[in-house]
Amino acid sequence: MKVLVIASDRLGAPSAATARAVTAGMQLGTVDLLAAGHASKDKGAAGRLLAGVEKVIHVTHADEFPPSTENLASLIARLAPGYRWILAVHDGFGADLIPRVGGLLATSPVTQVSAITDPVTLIRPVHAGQAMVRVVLERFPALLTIRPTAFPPAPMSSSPAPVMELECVQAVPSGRHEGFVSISSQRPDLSQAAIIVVGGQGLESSGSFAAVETLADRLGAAVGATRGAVDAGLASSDLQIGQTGRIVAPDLYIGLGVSGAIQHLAGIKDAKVIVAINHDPDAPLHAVADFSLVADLFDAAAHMGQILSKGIDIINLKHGTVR
Amino acid sequence: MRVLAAIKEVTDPAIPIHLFSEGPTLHREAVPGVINPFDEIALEEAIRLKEQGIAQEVMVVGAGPETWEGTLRTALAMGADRALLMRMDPGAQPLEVARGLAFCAREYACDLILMGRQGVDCDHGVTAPMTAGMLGWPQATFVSRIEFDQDRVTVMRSVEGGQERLQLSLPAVISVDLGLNTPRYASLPNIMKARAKPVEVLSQPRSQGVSWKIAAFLPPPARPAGRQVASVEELVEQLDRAGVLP
Ligand SMILES: Cc1cc2nc3c(=O)[nH]c(=O)nc-3n(C[C@H](O)[C@H](O)[C@H](O)COP(=O)(O)OP(=O)(O)OC[C@H]3O[C@@H](n4cnc5c(N)ncnc54)[C@H](O)[C@@H]3O)c2cc1C
Repeated sequence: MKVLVIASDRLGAPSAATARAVTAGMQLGTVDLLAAGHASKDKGAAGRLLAGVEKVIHVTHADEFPPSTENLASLIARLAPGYRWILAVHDGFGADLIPRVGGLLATSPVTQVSAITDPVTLIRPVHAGQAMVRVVLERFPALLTIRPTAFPPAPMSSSPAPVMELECVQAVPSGRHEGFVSISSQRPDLSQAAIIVVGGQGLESSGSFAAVETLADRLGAAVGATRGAVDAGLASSDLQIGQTGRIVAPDLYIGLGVSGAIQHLAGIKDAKVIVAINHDPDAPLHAVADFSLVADLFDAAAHMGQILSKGIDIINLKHGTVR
Repeated sequence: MRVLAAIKEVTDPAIPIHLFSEGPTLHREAVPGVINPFDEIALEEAIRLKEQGIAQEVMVVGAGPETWEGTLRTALAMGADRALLMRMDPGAQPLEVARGLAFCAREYACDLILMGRQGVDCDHGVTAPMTAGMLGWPQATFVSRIEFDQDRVTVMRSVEGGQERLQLSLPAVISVDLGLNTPRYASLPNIMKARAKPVEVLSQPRSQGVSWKIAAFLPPPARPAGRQVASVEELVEQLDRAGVLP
């Protein structure tokens, strides 16, 4: 049975998350990929090479670019009878689009799917990840958004999938895109980085995020923030990790001056190794961390930077450990 | 302009979930209900629009059980002009809630619907776009700034990598994010006054059935127990052993 996967590409280049959505789609059925945004400029070429994609539906736009959620949702609702599942990444595009399709088709979507048990049984978090629910689909086509961190990217294939063209017309009153203020950074993106150094409100006393940034650069890491740090004006909201920010799954997460509120933990539980550096031994992040250091964050971050720049071997010598 | 501010009552998100056993319902200790924090921001924005003379009336609507009356009165105490309870089962699915809100928006000729980006209990985050789709109105989600100019509204949406600027014409549906404003506290005199105000009650439109069923609540995946390290040196050594350093 057929799955329509919506490429996550409205505002930018085809996102790496699209390949993860294809993996989720293949756990349900056979995948058609709808490329409506940026990817449509290359006629869906990037999506054609994702293994498992049977067909790319390349959406053209006579009237507007990037396409509006409103008109795209109407187009997808018209395609819906041909599919048993319609799926997108849970991001600023997919989480905007899929529920609107739900309004048109009179179906409540299942969002932030983190595992697919079988084609009608899905797992998703609730209460900021303090519990999971097992959901059984009852109405089709079913509408889903997935957590990209929960699915590996689909591999590339050597034989490109065929392309079908479809025009998106101005059908309903819709928002007009007036621009994008991008927060560009030289550092790795939160969704890609192997290491993330996160700063919390504990940095407020220094009036800047410098301690976090210096350590991150030493490690080649991405920088993330808590809501506390965003509210304190130390970091942009784009860097916020948690229930209502980015969901991350790096190999290493280092939290500096982060208390570990439920809403923040919601975004970091898939990290392989969690490190807490906080001078309060009762901070909840210590309880979930793999390695917890009760210390002043400024001293610890500076010291860690020094050790790393000297090289790991020196420490091993000092402690007499044999590798 | 009449603004419909939709609110959901949620269990206080500041209280962690302790009592927990696997099963089709979430077993936990009784926890006080509060306005969903994101809906509180939406309501605050609606009240500010009225204070600025942009909106004439703020109608707050809760689509839920009768026990939400107290939460609706809190919304009146914050500054909503009238409160409406669209009676529904506590576990009503987003489809029913969105239908209820779309019905109210039409019935009361509202020009703008404001609500939070998601309920912090179920974390669906679907009601605003579903309602907009049903009404055929333009929508903006995850909004952290709103500016009015006549019957046009320009918003900033917080998305991956930055902020999208969108212009909508009214009527429209907007879901809000943290950072838009800081909600006020209801003053004691206003809380007293709100006790005397009516909360109108409407019955739910006939149910369209469920889209899915919750088979079970499960504990979140467990993480292995961690350990305390005594020094930065020990920390770096452990991380190096774990193979997570560059
Ligand atoms: C609806 C809603 C949604 C939310 N969504 C999110 C979300 O997505 N992401 C998120 O992060 N938060 C979110 N929050 C906010 C969350 O509840 C917490 O308020 C926030 O995460 C706290 O940030 P923090 O840990 O930086 O600050 P705090 O809780 O203030 O912690 C600061 C920590 O720094 C430590 N510290 C201070 N100085 C030092 C020092 N010199 N050395 C070492 N340690 C030090 C302190 O001991 C303390 O533990 C949300 C809240 C609500 C209501």
